[in-house]
Amino acid sequence: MKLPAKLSRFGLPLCFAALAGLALVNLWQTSRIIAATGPYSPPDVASLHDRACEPVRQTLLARAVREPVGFIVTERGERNSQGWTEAYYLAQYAMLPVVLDPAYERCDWVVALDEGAQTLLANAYERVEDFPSGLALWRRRVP
Amino acid sequence: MMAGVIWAWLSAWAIGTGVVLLCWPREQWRRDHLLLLGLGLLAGLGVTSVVYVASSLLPTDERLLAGAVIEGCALVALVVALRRKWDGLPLTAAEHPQAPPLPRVWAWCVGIVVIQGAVLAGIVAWRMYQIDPHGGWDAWAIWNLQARAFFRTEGTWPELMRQTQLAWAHGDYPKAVPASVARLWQWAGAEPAWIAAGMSASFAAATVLVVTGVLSALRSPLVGAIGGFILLTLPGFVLAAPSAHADIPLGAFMAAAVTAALMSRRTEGAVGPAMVAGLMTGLAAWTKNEGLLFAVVFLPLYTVGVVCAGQKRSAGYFLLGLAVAIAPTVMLKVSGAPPNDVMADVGSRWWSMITDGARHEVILNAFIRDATTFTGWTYGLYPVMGAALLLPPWGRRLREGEGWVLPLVALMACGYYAVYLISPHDLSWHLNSSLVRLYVQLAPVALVGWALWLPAWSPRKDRVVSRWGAKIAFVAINVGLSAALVIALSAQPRRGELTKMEKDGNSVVLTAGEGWYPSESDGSSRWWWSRGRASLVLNAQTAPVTATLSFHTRSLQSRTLWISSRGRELWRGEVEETFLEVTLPPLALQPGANELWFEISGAPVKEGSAPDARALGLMIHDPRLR
Repeated sequence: MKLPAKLSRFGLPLCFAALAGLALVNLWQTSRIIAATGPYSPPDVASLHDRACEPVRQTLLARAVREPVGFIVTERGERNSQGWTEAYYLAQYAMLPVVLDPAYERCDWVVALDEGAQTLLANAYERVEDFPSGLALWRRRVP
Repeated sequence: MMAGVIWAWLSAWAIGTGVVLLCWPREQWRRDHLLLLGLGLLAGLGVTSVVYVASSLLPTDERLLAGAVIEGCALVALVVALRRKWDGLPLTAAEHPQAPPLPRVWAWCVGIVVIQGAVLAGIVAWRMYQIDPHGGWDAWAIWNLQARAFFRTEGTWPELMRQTQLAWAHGDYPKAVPASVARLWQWAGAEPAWIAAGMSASFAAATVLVVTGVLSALRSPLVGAIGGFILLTLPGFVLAAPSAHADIPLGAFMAAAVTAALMSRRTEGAVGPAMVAGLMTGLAAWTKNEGLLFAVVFLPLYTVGVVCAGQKRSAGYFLLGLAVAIAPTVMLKVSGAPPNDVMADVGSRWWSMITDGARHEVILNAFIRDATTFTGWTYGLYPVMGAALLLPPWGRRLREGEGWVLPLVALMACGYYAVYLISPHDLSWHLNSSLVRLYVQLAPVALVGWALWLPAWSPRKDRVVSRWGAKIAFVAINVGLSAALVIALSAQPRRGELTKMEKDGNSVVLTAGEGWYPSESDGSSRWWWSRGRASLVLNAQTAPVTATLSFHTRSLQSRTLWISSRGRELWRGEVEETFLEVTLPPLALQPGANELWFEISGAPVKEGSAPDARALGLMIHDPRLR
């Protein structure tokens, strides 16, 4: 059988074999990078925020807070940095339907993700509740 | 909860399959079954998401019930209509040439490879889900957030998403993905993250079915297997499958529209597939804004083609399907959705952006770079894919009405290029954060376009093996190979583990402590760079155990390395740019965590001149325990 005839007969199956072999090796390499999770794996940040924010969300809903709630985080970088943005988006994802407002000065209620908020809020706000996850709920002082 | 989710998912599939079967030529149902299953799932998820959004806006407290009633009525109507269609036409073979089936031995081999590929892909996708159960950044910042807005509000999600504080969550984006997820959450009565990931994976599975099905129908099962297998094992596609982004669903609807359009050109006078193509095009627009671009590009390309081919009725039915399916998107966009961020802020800067040569250069370079990186391939398949096109028999490969698929991909890429050109965002950030996903969207259609150029394959008669014996052997081999695969994968270090060992019934796991950048890898090698002072932790499971740690190390400049444990120096030496093998003296480990501290002389060195370049101290390469 001449080469073109052989290629006509076996070319496409061989092509499948070559592509399949390469594809499986590639996916195996991916499996080495995307390792299975285990006891020493870092936690996933979205679930962490979900768990931390849920009691605050329930408190705000129980208090029938409908207006936007201020948001402060001081230990995740400058405002609009990637770390800060991630913390803000994840907190908002967890707190919905409560709307978080980074311009906290215009809000009566404020959720603080860490203790750094103390110095920012102490003058005009009072701490209403501390949560086990380290979050705190603040409310504007009545003059 | 589980029963509700299964019911909601199956009813969506049933409704979609009913719609597609109603449009599809009766005599082609049996042969196109793979394609129809995929198209049916996509149509079902799309249609039920529209019903969910509509019912969520009804002025009633029983929105779930209202949606269920609408879906139930649709299901009954479809069953009645399909019964009539079933009775009206005899089940005959297609009149046009049948694609040659795979010979038994080949079918056997291909089947085993495809199943093992699916097992491996499933495990990798499962790992990805475990790492990020809520999906990637866009999943929780946009799509799942919107799904929560549906689920957690009593029909007030439009007002919620219009709040200025939530502008970044893109309330203007189409709703197929969040509504599909929220619909299942509603049936579950809770919002577990696995439902969003499972929905995303459903779209991915449907895409594989569609690509395999259309290539099997138009060419041969072997070509179908090639196209489907490349997609099924494409790392970029597999990792995106559970990510709960909208790119996989959009790619699925685009592939579905293209395949239905290809099938509509196959049978003269069969207008149903053209209507399905229109429906899928509309659902692509209901999935993501890029779907609107797809509709704009695909509409003239398809309708002009069929009109020129004398199939004016197909064009009409395509437009009818498109008009029905795009209506919800149009209503969403005109009903006060916030302006799109790309279009809102450009204004008079368009011209200066379009004529800026530096922007063109940056975009072109990124397009070329990501054409490879989006795949996630360690060893590129492009050369083999190119070589496959050169196989004999040579001559005309494409049939009439098939030549527009790759031009469609090129036009879509041009559309994406144009959007980047006028993007108001930082261009590098915009490209780096989205271009890979745009390639993932186009990959299924591009694969179909490529596979249509493959040569025909005419198999010879094959040996006949005992049917039952062959089936039992096929199942046994697959079960055995899958088990071996799972065992081999479970031996890999887990996330967070550098290496591990088993000794005298005790396990020791080496993990990174403080001061390390995330791990890097190349093929089978893994390494970690320190930021400066850093620690490794040897975790002994139960009893005291002795272990020896060895590794290779290097630094970007000559420096001294001290390794200590509990204040006792274990090793000291000079580390250069070249690799140095280090073997620590045997360590007597106590149960629990045993820290090793790595201290270096001199400050870490920047790895490059970029402002965000990492400052690197010391590299640990392929650590081993014994």
